[in-house]
Amino acid sequence: MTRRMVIPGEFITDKKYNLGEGVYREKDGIYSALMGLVDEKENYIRILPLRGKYMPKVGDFVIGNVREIFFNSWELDINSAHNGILNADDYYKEIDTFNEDLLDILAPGSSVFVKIREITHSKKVYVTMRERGARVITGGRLLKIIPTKVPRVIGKQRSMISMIIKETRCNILVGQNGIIWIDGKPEFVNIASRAIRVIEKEAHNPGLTNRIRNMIIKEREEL
Amino acid sequence: MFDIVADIKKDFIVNLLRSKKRVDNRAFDEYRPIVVEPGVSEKAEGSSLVKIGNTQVMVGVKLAIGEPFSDMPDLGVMMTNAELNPLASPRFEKGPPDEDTIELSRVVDRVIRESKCIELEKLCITEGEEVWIVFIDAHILDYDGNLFDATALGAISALRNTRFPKVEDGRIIYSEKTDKKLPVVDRPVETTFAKIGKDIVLDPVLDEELVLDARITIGTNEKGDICAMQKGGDGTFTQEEIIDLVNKSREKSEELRKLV
Repeated sequence: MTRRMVIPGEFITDKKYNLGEGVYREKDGIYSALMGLVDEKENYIRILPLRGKYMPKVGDFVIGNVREIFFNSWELDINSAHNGILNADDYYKEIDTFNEDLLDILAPGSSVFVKIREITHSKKVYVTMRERGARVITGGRLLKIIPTKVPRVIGKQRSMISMIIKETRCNILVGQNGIIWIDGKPEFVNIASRAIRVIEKEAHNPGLTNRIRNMIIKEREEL
Repeated sequence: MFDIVADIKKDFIVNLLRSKKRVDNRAFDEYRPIVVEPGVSEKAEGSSLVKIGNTQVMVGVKLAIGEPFSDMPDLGVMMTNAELNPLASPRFEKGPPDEDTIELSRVVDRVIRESKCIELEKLCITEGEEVWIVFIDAHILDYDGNLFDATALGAISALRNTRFPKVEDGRIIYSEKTDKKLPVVDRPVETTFAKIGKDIVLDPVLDEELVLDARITIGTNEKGDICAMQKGGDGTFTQEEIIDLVNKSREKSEELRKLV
């Protein structure tokens, strides 16, 4: 099924729907606030944006980059308009903030894979590492993609990403904020990052998983 | 424009360079694809749009009549201004120009001025009273590294494309252009090199610019004489490196000059 493409301010429908992301209601119907594809479900409607910055959501795993250190917290760049805050309490092990310097634990420039714990009304984004899977990232390589394409890179029930991990034997962490970390043999890291770039470009095409698998196998044979 | 780059990213770029590769698979002394489109703006007397890879700069030239400087009563006046548009990069803020903006406009100004490519004495109308003033305005539309080369290339391309507007009773009619061209006699261009670790690369992209230790911009004219130089960054260049880079710059400048 092809979805209808709309631009900001375009009239979508006059049917009654619950409003999802990227739509607003006027007297005579529902309008789009974003450029993207219309996703109509049984009782609600939303826009799947083609591009966009990452908006933090509670429960998302993101890759953040330490940019500043305070007395008992780190400020993270999470590729969004809002910064992430990692409290010393949320580090994966106990820190005695009176005797230990946070600089020695995570210096500016370090990368972490964290979960968003809470977003306050004033849009302070608190992240935590006391969560399965959260960790400090070292080595490997970072890739930045358009955040709205992240679901396609992961695939249904992680089908796409687990296929890439299996075929390239790389460690891959995908942050919902569009930052992807890949670690493994350099040649395989190259293949994996090229595959992810192709997915980003052709996210809307069906049958992508098999094509990407064939592409990886072919490139692997050429090594 | 202060940025913290992830250590992983920096290590990746440095390690890649050590194995003689670059992030976009270019050779160390290779430019990204360059496109120069002169005459993109009808309102300006001269204009040019330059793309180096994803970097995009539009340069416009405006002419006005005004008073000369008192110490140079028989010479025209030239001014360069750069604008780092917030649309071009999240790192650019609006407001008064910051040091990077000023550095960019001064380095571009220097190569145009010191190469003496505009014959300023021909811009004199009446000595000590009226001369033509040349405004070169650079607008950065998209930022992916190496603004110096793109802006300098745009400036000279726009100048060569500039035509005088019609003048009636001492007033300029901007809507009508004459066939008379601005007296531009040289084609100076700039080439920028970045030093990352021990490796030196031409035309750094944004990722490389963020992690560079030092950069050097060399401007040369058609004869190959150096007419401008600017070094940035905390790192250093050795004497041999600079001599080597000047020679390389002369070679590469020929490539750029073919485009204008």
